[in-house]
Amino acid sequence: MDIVILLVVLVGSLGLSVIFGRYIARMIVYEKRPLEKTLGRVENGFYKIIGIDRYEQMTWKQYFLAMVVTNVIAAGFLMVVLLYQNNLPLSPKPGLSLDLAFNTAASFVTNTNLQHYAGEQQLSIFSQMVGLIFMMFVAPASGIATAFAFIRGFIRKEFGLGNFYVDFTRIIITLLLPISFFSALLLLFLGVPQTLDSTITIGTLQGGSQTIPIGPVASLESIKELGSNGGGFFAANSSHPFENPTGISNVFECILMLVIPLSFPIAYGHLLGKGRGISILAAMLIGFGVMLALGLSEQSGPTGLETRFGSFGSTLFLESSVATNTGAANAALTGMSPNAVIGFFLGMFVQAIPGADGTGMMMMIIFVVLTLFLVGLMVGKTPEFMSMKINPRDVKLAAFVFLIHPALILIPSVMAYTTENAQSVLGEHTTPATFTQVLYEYSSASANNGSDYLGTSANTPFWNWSTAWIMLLGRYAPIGLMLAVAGSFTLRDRKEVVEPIKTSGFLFVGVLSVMVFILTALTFFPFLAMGPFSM
Amino acid sequence: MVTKLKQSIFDKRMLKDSVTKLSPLYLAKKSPVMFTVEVGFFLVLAIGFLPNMSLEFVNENRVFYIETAIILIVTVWFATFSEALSESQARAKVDSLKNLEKEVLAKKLVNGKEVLVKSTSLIVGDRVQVYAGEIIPRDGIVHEGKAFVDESMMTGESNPVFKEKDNPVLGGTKVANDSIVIEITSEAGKSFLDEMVGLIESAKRPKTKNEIALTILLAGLSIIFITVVGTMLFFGYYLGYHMDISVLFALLVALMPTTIGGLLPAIGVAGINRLARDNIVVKSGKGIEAAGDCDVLILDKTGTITEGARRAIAFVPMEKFTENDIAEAAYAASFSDHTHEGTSIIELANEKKIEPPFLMEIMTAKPVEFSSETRLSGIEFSPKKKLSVTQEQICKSSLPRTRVSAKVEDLEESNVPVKILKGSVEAILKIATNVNESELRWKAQEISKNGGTPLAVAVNDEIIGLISLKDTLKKDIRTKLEEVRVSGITTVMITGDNQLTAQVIAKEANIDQIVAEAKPTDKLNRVVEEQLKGHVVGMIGDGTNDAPALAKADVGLAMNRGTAAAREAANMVDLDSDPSKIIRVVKLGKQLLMTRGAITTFSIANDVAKYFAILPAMFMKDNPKMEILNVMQLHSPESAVLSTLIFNAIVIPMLIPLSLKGVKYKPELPEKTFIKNMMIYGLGGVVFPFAGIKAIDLLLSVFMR
Amino acid sequence: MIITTGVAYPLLVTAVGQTVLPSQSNGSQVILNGKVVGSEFISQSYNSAKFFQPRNDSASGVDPDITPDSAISQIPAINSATGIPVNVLKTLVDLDVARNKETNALVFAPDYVNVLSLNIELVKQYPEVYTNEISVKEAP
Repeated sequence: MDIVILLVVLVGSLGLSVIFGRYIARMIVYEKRPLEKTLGRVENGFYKIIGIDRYEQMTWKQYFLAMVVTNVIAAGFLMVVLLYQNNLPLSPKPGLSLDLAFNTAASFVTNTNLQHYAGEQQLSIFSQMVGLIFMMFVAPASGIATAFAFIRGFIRKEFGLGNFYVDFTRIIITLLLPISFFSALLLLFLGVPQTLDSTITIGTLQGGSQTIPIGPVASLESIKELGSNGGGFFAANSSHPFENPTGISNVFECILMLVIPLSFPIAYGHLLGKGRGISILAAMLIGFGVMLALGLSEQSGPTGLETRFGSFGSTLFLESSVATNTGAANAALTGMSPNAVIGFFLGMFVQAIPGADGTGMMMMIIFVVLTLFLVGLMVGKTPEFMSMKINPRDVKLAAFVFLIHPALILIPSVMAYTTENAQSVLGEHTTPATFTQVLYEYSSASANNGSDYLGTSANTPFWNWSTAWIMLLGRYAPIGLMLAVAGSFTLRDRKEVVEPIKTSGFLFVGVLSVMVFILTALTFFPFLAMGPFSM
Repeated sequence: MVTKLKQSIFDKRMLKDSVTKLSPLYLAKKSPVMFTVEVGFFLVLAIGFLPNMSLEFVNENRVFYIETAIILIVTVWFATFSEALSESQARAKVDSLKNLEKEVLAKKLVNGKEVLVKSTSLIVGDRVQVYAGEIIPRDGIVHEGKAFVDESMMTGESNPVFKEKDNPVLGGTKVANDSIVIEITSEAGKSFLDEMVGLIESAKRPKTKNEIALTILLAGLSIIFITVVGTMLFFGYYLGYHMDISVLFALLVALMPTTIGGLLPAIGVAGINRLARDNIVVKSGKGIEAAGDCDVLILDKTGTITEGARRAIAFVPMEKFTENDIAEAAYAASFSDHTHEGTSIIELANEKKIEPPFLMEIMTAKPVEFSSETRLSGIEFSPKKKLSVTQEQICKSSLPRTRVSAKVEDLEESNVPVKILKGSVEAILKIATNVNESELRWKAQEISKNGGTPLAVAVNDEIIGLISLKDTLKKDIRTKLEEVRVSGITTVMITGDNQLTAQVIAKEANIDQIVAEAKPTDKLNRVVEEQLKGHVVGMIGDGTNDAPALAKADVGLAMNRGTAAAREAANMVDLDSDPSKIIRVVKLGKQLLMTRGAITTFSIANDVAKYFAILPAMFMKDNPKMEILNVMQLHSPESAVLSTLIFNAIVIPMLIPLSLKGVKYKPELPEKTFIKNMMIYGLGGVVFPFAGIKAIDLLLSVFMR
Repeated sequence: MIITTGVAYPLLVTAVGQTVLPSQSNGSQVILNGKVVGSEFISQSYNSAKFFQPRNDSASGVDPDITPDSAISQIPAINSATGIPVNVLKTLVDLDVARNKETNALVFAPDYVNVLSLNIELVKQYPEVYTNEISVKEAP
């Protein structure tokens, strides 16, 4: 039975990603898509409204700047909505504190969706809908757009990185919106509610009455999973029966989370060589497989788990969610086994197995560059990627991308302890379990993951501000660096010769996987030993 | 090798260098990894002397800190020692080459008079007179006179080389006879040997691109490990472990890529040194590195692939004639031709035991010298006097006569002067018309098809046949080029020959592509063309017209006997003037990169075992769960830390021979090389330290009880 | 974009949902004898020993389901409170498990019991036993 679920999730997400991968490839190189005429007309309308020239190519700096500006405006809008939701329509609730509003805006704009609030209690329907659902499109669309630009950097010399506004619009209108619309309908069918009321008051069997929070859950839920967002309508996230009512919805949500991250290597394969795409996909799946194996090696629950998912359904969902940096949870993390938690950490440390929409792919390419560097040296050739020389600057940028992550996790964790903020939330006596929670919080923030142990208990100024800044740094610093890499590659000459070491095939997949694992393990091994391992 | 190594170990300057290189300022600039280790040394030493610095994080006894500090500084010294050692070896090699051009008194020509000056005072443009037995003071060109010059000390070539006006001469070589006036062309201290010295001295040595990239990666890893170990101190403290600063520093030093960090400079210098041992003078480090990447080699046919001297290999008669006819005619036509080709024709005839009966006439004949107008050479003789007729007649009747000797006789009898000439088919056709032209052309083409060069031979107006001349391949060139091909390098042969001949030679020698009927500019064009496609191009040159291409090529190897312009433009000069050495340069470049890669991989792979040695030592006392990590079962936490550090330190000297000699390179598919190296240095790098640390721990436990 | 994704999109889903799938859209309310008695997906508390009790150590805190084992372990208590035969209770549990299996296309979830639907089944089968429990609460 469990194996059937696993197969359906894998085959389903891979099958769909073959279709969407092809579609994304067409989007990247502006090839004709189905319904091109209609879509084109709709998009042109948007370009006219924003006032952009759709043919204008951007440099990596312009592209990055456009993304940041768009994100800042959107985050500013969200902050205003959250701060002043008491003055806004649809079941107004008190406005959030400044630090919580900032944290939430940072969290959603960076595709993290770390939640230090309880959605059903603290947010109005207007905030959920116009604030969060809107942001749940903006964040993944920004990530996917940068990945488009990144991949374009390798296609051929002077192909150009594209135009952020064009990509952004096209991704929302012709990729995310249609899929989430139909997914929302399917979720509705499976029992996820969709109404503008914030609560329903209904009778109980024994004749009492019960007030149940409700709202436009289905429309949020679909983009939450599809866009590797993960921010729940309810504080209980996907463990809440209204977000994830049955085993079928559980499987469907897993597929939704996996589909776009897995589509990217396939799109990459279409554009830059089938073997290369498949190899990257294989490396991602191997990493994901290790996470799953860790999770399934030990029974989790039943405390903290939902009956309808059981240990297997919870593990599969959570590992998929953390692997794709979605961060949605259908069980309490405290209910998960230490091995499963080590699996989560692995996913957040690597960020590329398969990682979030778009950025997971970029991260994997960074690993590819680092791997090729070493491989090249081992065979006596200056390392090359896509028949382009890897120069010191690329290595510097790639090393930075790799370096930022542990720094953003470890240093703030130390600060949380030295400033006593960890102790004030988790108790004076630090245990491996509470240390794990602190480490997890910043790993999740830095990886733009969003799953966490602390939840509303971290709604203090320190945690709100610190995680907000880590999320912002963890998002924009690597993306900026990676775009810089792509920007310099697009100007580079390509060889017409065969690569010395093929970036496809079993050997490469093996080396890449080992490299990813070794680099990650060497960096984080002691902390896993002190944390989840000692729990 | 061993004695050499011993010699250099006792080299005082080297030992001094290895100590001065310990200066923190030097290390901070050159090797951030070793700098960090040294900081650790000072810190641990300070704790050893002032254990009251921090009560919280200082838990071990004083002896342990002193021991740790000693191991740390020894680690750094091993690294500086390896660098100093390879520098000293290279310096010794350069000095031995350099001695030749130092401290010579020169006879400078001032207003036509000779003035004795020190060679170092000469400037470009000065002219000096050099007599037989004297040493040429510096690189220059012959301005006046002709002489044989003994270049054996520079090139190993024992035959003196003939030099005349405008030929380049090398500083340090000796004039064997006569005297010449030399115009100095290089600045004092700027001869290419001096350029090489600059590469060896660490201060001036510029890092190559790959070295920079690797240094960045290593620095990145170091920063990560500093972050990891630094934050561990706090987490450990809050989790209730007894953390000790020196143990943490030990972990940091163990994790940081000290092995490659320490050996990186030595590897670079060793590359230059190894080329010098092959008598190749390197002028920039970039060239060696590019050599490893070289994937297109542009080779001259003549001198590189072939011996450069054509020899006669066959006589091809026209239909009317026999082999004997053409052999006799060829013999006659070549009799006064003393070139290599000419002698080879006589030799071939001798081999076939063919000798013309009209030898007397040939010997007394007037030679027809080769001229650029006629492009023909041979002999010419007038009819004989009747005096010898009787003798002739006897001969005639007793010997079977060939058609050619009959023809010669007939001509003589009819009192017509006889001209026996050889030359290219076109040239001969201009003077001799009595031939089936289509047969001639067809046969000439056949010769070309087989890689030969056809020469036609005519007796007066009748063409007798053709001589097939062929340039023979250099010994071993086929195998050498096969190795090159397996390493994934495309070879391009440039030749003035026609397409057909070029193709045949290319096939025989294992060449991938050819540029036939090449003009001098074709070399440069081809280099640029390949580079535009993204290839890294290596080439060899010796002529002045090669200079632009040599300068443009990524790896330019100039022949020492070539012109000064070529040597100036190239980034390497081969003192032996052996063009096939470019293959060795490519191999060495690859080895250099591989050695770096292998030691880096080894260094990183070692970390696995080091974690398993130190983490249990650090945590086991306070957390029994960590017992599982204690796979090595080391004697005690102290011995675990010390043996890890000792292992970490001694790996550096252990790998010095490898860094100096380089990782073995076998021409094979890159995949195969990769798997092999990954097994040895990757997997080996994981396993070896487990054994090594355990062994050291067993030894230590004897002393520690 | 705000209007497209933040307003138009959720409103469109709401419109479609409310017209085509009104029950699910409004929280899958369960109706017994013409009265809403709860949501299929949200657990409710039962203060009578005659009902199967939900768990409350789940992730959501409103887990409407319990494991078959947990249901079976509650059977003796229900039996003594209601007098409904053990084998009937057992059958009802099994039937509910089977029904849920169907909901999940047989394989997509572990076996579980929906407490509300099991309790409704009890009320339907044995209205006389549960008259008090249902009416008592209705009075005020």
